[in-house]
Amino acid sequence: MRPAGSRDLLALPVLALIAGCARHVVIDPELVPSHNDRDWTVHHEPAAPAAAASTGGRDLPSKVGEAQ
Amino acid sequence: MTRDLLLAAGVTSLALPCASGCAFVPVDVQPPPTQELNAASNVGRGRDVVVEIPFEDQRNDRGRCGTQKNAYNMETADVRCSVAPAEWVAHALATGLQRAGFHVLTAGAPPVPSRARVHGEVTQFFVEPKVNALTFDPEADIGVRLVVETPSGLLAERRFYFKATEVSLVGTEDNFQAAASTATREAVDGMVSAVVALLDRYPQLGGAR
Repeated sequence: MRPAGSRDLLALPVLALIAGCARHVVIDPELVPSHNDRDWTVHHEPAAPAAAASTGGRDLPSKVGEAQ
Repeated sequence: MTRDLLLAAGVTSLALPCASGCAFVPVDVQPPPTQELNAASNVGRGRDVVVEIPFEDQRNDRGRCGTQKNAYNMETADVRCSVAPAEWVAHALATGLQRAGFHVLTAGAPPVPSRARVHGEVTQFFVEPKVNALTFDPEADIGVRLVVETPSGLLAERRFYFKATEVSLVGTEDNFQAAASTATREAVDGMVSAVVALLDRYPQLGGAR
């Protein structure tokens, strides 16, 4: 094997440029909007206020306590 | 003489790219301080919100938080997160909601019909320099999919993506940190505003305290 010479040193940056096509994980700024939803997608609406109130929530434990 | 010139050119062509910020040791980035997140306000009006911490980690590359590069666009070392991104983003959102005036509870809180529960997944969290002719700009991307639901029936979801760029001449650890911090602040601002807008549509939600 011959020792590395100056021409080999010049070849290194060329190889680096070829190998330097690293993948980009971050996206281009102009693509950001396409990755952002403009609004929420609501699959289900919550129950109406009266229905929600009638199901108790936090009041339930204290009512149970009062009953005891 | 020719040999010396070639040698000098070779060494210079290898050394110059490193002057623009090539590094061979990992850089650590950490979440921004609480006081650097969204401005304190009362838009939450004391409404209850449960935030599940951490979110799910759905990133393609879960082994690191980013990469450092040399001027040839070659990866030279990793960027690491001091806090896992799934916890980083969820905790930042919880803090942001608290600063916005919500009463933030942890996942162990008992279910209440009108109490919103926020959970999600981190789809992207990566810091990477954009190598230009004269500048070396770390960019931080944060992608999140949020889900908000209540026992009373609400089920909503939304995708978010945030990008922050720090323009600089050299790639230093501070620039990677600045990009990550700015992207986090933008993410918190965007997600908190979105949660406020969603819950404001349903006055019956969140007032069970």
